[in-house]
Amino acid sequence: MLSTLLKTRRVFVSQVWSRYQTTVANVEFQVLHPMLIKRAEKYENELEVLEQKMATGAMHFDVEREKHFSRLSAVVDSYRKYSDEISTYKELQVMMVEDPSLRQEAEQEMKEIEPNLRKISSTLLAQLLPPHPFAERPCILEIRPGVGGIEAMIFAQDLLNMYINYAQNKRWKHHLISFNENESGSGIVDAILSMDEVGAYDKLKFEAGVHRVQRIPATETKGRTHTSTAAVVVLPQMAEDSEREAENYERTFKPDEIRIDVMRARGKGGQHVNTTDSAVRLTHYPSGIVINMQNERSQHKNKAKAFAILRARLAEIEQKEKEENARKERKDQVSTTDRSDKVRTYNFPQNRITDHRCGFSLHDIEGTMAGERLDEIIEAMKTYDSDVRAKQLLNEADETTSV
Amino acid sequence: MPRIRPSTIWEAHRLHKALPLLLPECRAIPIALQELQWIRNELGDKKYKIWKSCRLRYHRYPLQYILGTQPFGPLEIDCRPGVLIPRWETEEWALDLAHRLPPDKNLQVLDLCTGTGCIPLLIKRLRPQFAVGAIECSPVAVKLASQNAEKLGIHIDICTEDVLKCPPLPHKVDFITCNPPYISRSSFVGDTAKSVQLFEPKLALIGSLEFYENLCDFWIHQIEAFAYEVGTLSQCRYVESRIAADPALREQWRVGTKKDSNNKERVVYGYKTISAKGIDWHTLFRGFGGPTC
Repeated sequence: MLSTLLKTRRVFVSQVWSRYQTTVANVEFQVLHPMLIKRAEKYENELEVLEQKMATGAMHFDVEREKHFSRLSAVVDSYRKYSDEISTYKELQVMMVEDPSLRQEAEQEMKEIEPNLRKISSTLLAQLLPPHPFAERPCILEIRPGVGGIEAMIFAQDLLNMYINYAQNKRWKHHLISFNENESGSGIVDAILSMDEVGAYDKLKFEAGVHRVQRIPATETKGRTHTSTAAVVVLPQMAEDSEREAENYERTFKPDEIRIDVMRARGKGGQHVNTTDSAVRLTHYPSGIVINMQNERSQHKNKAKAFAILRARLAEIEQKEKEENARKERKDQVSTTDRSDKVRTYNFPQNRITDHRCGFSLHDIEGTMAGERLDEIIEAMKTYDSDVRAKQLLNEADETTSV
Repeated sequence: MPRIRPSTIWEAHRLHKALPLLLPECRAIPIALQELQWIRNELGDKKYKIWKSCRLRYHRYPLQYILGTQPFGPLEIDCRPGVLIPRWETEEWALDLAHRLPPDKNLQVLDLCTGTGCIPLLIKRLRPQFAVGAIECSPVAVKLASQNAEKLGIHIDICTEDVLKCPPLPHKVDFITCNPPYISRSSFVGDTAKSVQLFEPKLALIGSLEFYENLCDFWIHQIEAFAYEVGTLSQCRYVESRIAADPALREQWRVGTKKDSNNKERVVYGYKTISAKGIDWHTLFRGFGGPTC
């Protein structure tokens, strides 16, 4: 019945119109788990105690505590909003059952408050979950073409532009650390973009993974659709890529752990030649990381940048290991949201972007590539991630209570 | 040196009309593109200017003179025709050395044959406590070094003297750095890059042992440590043998050689085992280089 209805609809509604609809998997709104609510209540109590103490002036100023306080009040604030909304929602539900005459009105009202409730509920959920250790950091995005030759390089360039546009839209400070075009100048071989905004890592961490594009490439002569990929790596920025930071950081390594290669000129060197090549290659033996930097005229600056990248990559590896260990301890096989192979598809003929992890589709390629609507995908992914983590948390809690 | 293939030249031409002009110096397209990017960054997108710079580059004119600057550690040093361009090898050892010097002591450092003033400026920037001076015989270079000091806001004393004429020192000096001309006349034609031969001052390039001789005859008696850049192993050996030949010096001094990242002998350094200033030169220079071999 439904399928026939859809078919008839297709006859009447033009194709183009339907393409601009964004679809989200429409799930029934779920009330937060009592355990999470309990947690929020605990925060509320803690805040009250803290507020009283501060009011009496018994404590001295402490930055850490102030931070904690502001976080607590943010959580409690959204918790209060949530409980307000949820009580109205529940009342309406009761009303619907008790008084059939008001059913229609109640339903309409429920529909009105539902989106708001969803939003509040997801923010509260995200706040209740333990924050990511690097959430406050700025981040570094590394973009490289995958399979697909020149078309992949062009797509990598498109992705880079998308993130730059995104940063511009949000008025984030950002700069290119390294940018290497391919020989014909149509795409990139690799690029590293630094987002110097506090909390950028938290926003963009879900961008990591393989992005797939399906379109008719500019290089295609017979009009066939190609599939190519580009890989994005998101790293937390541990320190500024200033030269002094790099020097201090360099000294934390043992001499046999790292190796710095510079352009090896043939011949005698020194005053005999005046080379302009300032490329630096940094090798970190324990992890096998190799970083090439060549964009700056100053070898010194290239080195500083290479060390900043190394630092970010090592921090990332360490964090991944920690997560892995924690997962092993839990002995569960929960699928992770990060590092999965293919995270997103950009389908140009259908004007569609789908995130494969959360199943969210957005039908606006142009808006997304211009960085305007990327936020919607990121938001969807964030909601999905906090859902998964909440489930994980609840599972754990169940296990501990049952044992 | 292998020739540049015509296909490479055509390919470069397709990418940018001026790119083939950069090929004789850069040899490969990626490096040429990088250089073109730098020229664009510094001079803006004016077609005529870019074309002119590439023409100069085709005639082997050094990029540093075209752009007017050369990065040296954290500093941006102005360069001008008639003054030697700071090399990355110098940058490497000067940085390493400057970081080794004790920041809390009040050292008197003197740089001979200073050129653009890159070494003393770097030391003064990293160790502001020190009193840093520089000596240079070329008036063009003295002017440029003063200009650099002014631009960077770093104060150093620069005076016009000929190092080889053993000028009297106004005050005591503890440490001497020097990047003397060290290319021998015979290897200047064969081993030196065209761009250097044609456009950099011979005064700052050609020399054999006279500065090292001058060091062992005159400067060594006034100082506690020195670091001289060298071009060949024989120059290191010369300094070492001169110190070993003198019984008084042999007792007091230790000499070593530092290689650069290209594994070429680049610096000969020496220090007194007993310091009047109370600086432990031995630990300071540990790991900087090794014994001459």
